[in-house]
Amino acid sequence: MQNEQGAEVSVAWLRARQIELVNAGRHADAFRLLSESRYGPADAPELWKSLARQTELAGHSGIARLLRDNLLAAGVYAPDLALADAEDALARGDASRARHIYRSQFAEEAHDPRVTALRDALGEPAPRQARPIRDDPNGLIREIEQLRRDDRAAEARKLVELALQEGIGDPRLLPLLARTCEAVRDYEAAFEAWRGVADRGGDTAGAARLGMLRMALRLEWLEAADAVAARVFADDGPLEQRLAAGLVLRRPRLWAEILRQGTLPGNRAQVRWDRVATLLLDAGEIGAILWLEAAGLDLGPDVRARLEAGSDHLARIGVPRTLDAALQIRSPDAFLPFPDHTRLPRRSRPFDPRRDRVLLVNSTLAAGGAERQFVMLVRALVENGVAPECIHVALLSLLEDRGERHFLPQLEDLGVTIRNLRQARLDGKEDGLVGLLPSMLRRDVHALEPLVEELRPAVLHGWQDRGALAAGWVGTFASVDRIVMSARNMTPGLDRGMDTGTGGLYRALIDQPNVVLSANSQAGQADYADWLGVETSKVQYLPNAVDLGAIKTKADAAPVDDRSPLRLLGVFRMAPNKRPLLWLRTVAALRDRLDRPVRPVLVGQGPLAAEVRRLAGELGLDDLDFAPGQVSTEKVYAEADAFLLMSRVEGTPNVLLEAQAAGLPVAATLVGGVLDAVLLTGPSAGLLIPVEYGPEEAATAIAPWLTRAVAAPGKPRRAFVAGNYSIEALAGTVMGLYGAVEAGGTR
Amino acid sequence: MKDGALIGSAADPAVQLLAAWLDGGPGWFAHPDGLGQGGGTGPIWFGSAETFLATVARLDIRDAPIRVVLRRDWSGLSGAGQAAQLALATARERGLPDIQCVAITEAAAAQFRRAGISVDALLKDEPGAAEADVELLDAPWRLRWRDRDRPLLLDQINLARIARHVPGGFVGAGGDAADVAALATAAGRASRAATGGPVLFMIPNGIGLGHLTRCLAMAEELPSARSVFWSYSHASNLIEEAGFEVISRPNATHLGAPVDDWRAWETAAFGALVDALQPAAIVVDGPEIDAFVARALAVPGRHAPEVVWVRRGQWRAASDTRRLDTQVFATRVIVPGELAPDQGPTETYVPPVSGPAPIDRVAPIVRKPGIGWLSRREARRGLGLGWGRTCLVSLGGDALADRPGLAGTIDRVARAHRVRLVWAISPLARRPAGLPDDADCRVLYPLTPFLEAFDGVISAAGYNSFHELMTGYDRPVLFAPVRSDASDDQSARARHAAAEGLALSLPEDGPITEALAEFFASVRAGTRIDRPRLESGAGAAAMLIAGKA
Repeated sequence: MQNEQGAEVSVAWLRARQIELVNAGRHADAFRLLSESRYGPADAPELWKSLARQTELAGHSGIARLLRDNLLAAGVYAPDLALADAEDALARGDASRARHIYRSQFAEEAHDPRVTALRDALGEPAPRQARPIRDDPNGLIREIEQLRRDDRAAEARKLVELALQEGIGDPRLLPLLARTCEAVRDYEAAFEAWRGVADRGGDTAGAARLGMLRMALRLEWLEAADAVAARVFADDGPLEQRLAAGLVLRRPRLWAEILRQGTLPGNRAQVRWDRVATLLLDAGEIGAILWLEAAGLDLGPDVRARLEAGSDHLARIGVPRTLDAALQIRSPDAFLPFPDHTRLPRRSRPFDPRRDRVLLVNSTLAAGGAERQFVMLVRALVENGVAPECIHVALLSLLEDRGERHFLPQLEDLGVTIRNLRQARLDGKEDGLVGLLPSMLRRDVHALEPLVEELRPAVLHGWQDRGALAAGWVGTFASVDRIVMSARNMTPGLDRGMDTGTGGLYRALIDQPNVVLSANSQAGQADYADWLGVETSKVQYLPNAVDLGAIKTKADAAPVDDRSPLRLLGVFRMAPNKRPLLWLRTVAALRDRLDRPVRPVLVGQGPLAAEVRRLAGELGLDDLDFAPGQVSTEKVYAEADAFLLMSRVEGTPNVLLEAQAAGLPVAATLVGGVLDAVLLTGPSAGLLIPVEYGPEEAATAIAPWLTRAVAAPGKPRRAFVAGNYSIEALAGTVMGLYGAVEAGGTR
Repeated sequence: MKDGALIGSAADPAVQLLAAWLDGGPGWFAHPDGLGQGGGTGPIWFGSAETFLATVARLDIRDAPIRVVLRRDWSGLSGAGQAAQLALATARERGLPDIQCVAITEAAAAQFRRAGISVDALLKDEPGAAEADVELLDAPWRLRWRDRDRPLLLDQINLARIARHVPGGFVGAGGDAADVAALATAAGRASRAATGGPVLFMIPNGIGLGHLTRCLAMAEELPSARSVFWSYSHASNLIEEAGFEVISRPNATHLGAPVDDWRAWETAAFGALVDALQPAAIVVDGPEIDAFVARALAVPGRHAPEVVWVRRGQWRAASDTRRLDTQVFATRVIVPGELAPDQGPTETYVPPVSGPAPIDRVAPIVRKPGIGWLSRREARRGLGLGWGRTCLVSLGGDALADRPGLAGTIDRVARAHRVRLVWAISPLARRPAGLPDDADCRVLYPLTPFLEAFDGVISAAGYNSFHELMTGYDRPVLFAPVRSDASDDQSARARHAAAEGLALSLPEDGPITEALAEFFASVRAGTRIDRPRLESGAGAAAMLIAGKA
């Protein structure tokens, strides 16, 4: 096969053409193109898998099945595709095909609930446990640990749960359950498992309470966190545990007091100083480590080796004379500003989208707004002339178990190279300055460094705080021409009242001549600038983008005299900063103020989910439609009449943009970037609610607006989003940040 | 008089101030770092919620009431409020439901109350800070005087001691710093230096008698106060002979111990002595205030003694000026007078940061011998000297080593002028090498009572010898300054005396016979020289130490 220029086609050409055809809805043509190319499923499996997924999503099941057949025949059948294929076959009544797929692919799979459901439906026997696991608890534990090492935490958890159901009383199981639940981010279950361990008492109770504390803080269960912490501090357990609790609570005065007492002559011998030193190093408390070293304590071989390796850098700091002074010396701030050689002038050649490499860095591809925008960014680059083969995407972690691959298919469909740095993070040992960084930054930098060295990108673009700081650090030392750091929310400065310690690094980075910081709202720009003590102009604006093609506008506004239930929608995480309980109370108050019945619809998961259900019952909102799992946003918007957001903190909420793109009237609290994200003129305008309003005040403000707004046309709302949050606008801005010849992109 | 305990970090200025504010007496424990146990049933105070949290698990508290001082911390009230709530929850876990929370100021208390925490205020009437002389900064704790740029790091300083010397009070930037500043102002105005207690003299080095002699001179002017000496001098017996208590300590060199270890031992021992002795003042005569003194006195509850640094001048230009920076640990500096103008760092160096200590200058401090000056007849009889001109040579081993052949030359020229020599030997030293075999060596301490016996003196130009001779003796003097002295510019003193016609001085370089011949001719002739008769500054210094000046 040859392309339009008569040249033999490449995978890159095929990918670009495939994207064009799929975007145009020409799936059959895309299939024909691929089938007729010289690249079979074994040669270019990603192209085949991608097309299989997209045709399935577009409803072309027959073509999707053909594609999967080809993949199956070539032996490159991805588990998710195989499972989807089997489920599809079963749904079509083709049990034979489903059974064939099951037996060839999943006969040994024991723990995946989708596979279990398939097996049950097919009446297939369970694959294992012919040998009762109670016969060999040590083998069981080994198997669980191996699964954990392989990052298969969900399977490990299932196995633990199975063992517990079978009544195996091995004391190692409950902590393993807690850890596996934690690994798959089921923090509530992890909290309960840790509680079970703690209730058993004994030596592991202290560590279990630390686990409970970590989980409670993750879940923002602040009262529970205080109760657990109180137990930790009331018990005369090992100092390391109390110190760890102080560090987890981010209370320097508290852990410093604990540390100081440990150094008293009578107490020193009772403390595992190697563990203390590791805790402090991981937390970036390098001053406290130097203070302990000066006090003559043995910090253990690992920390000693790191101090030795970084001795040149530590010499610049000196030894703090007091613990009070030591608390002021934190990594990485203590090693800033960057050395002079990092400030040497960079290559001034403009960014060439056809030739220069871009390396984008983000934490994960989990189901979040920032991750969705990350994929939009890549798409904007591809659709605006940056060659897919020039775009490399590095993800710091991509664990299926933790839901970190949620947007992976969409990213794969764009044909860019995706690098999973998870494995790199576990390999090797850091040395020199990197070994003295706080644990998360240390691991991220360690994982990213070799890739940057390998690719030598012209642009290194870090997304969200974690990706931005890792990219900033690595890019600075690797002399990358241009570094872009994109913040996606409000500043990370305050969390339970304590600075997270990243401000100094951000300041040092934006002081570098080749580093640009961006935020996705004017409020975000101002917030970061204020936090960092710089002019707002130092923080660039990089807008969100909405895929208007994926969201259809409601056809018409509702008739004014419509008396059918008004479906008021909220899509957000059920977490304290989103204030779901206030949302419910506001809806309840609104019912008394409208002539038309109101039906609340909530979509989202989070630690307050149970509380939401309880309060809904209490408020008489029995008709609450609550979908805590993943649902089709298009369907949700299409079925709603209006959208309400009552958050305490927001960046630029995607949901507001999407709701307006769907033509819905939106009301939201005036926080963060909400002001920018809401249409504020004309009859279709949204409503801004003062953040301090309680439910009655909010309902009083919403009621008259809502009556008018649902009767107003939706098109101006969609036009507002199209005009301000298009992929083209995003591409133009980002190309400007990259220093392309034509700032404003290739439009 | 109260009993009870205060538990907190020694480095926390608020804890130092609380110890002063709560005015502990016997039975009171101000525990620096770790666990303290109340004596009797007095309250146990914790310097912060964090200290309570870090400590409570290991405390065996039964009936004593508990007071936890709540602090507004670096990040505002929210973090502090959470710490307070956590402390209350932990107390309940420990079965201590009745702890009482106390904020430092009413402003802080009001904030804590708004956060739902029941709390009293320690300072009912917050002192005004309009006239504040000093700004208190935290993270880390520092002081900045209004008229000075660089702040003073409070890492080895007891703020409660400084607070007495800041009459205008303190101001803090906000939050905990504002609260602690208010407490510093209040505690400073309320507290006084210890009165009526003994004076604790510290003699820091083991070589020479200068520091020891000066301290004895001052102690002898404090007849109504008990004086105790903490001495590293080899001549501690001289202190006992003068009738004073002495605690003789070896220094790190004597012990062959690592300096850091030695300093830790001294910190503990010195602190224990301060606790037992409750001195009104601690007088350090030496080139610096050692860190162990500072550390021991930074501990909460040891704020009462004044710290007086008797700092001799006339340092060489190349001296280590960092020692002068230790002035920040003193509440008063006394500079013993010098006849020769001081052009060294003690006059020219300005420490980058300074403390509250005023600098007082007194007349040269020389010791008045208890038995008074002996008449020439008494002195000569006492020394067994016959007729004829006699000259005292008071040169230590270092002076003789400084000029090889000096002893022989002196002996030869003296014989030529028919002047008999008496060689004074230090009580600390062996007979120096290089003396003639038939040299008449005597151990004379103190020298002063016997000076009338001699028709002339050859001496080094250390502070004591120089000023004893120049202010209390009227016969010819020849100075042989020790040029190798690390910190003391003896040459400057000798040059000054020669230029003023008060004495002769051996040339720094070149032949010395001519100068010796001139000196012995003068001795031979029985020359008298009119020198200023100055009252010793010891009395004035003693008045300053006693807080009566």
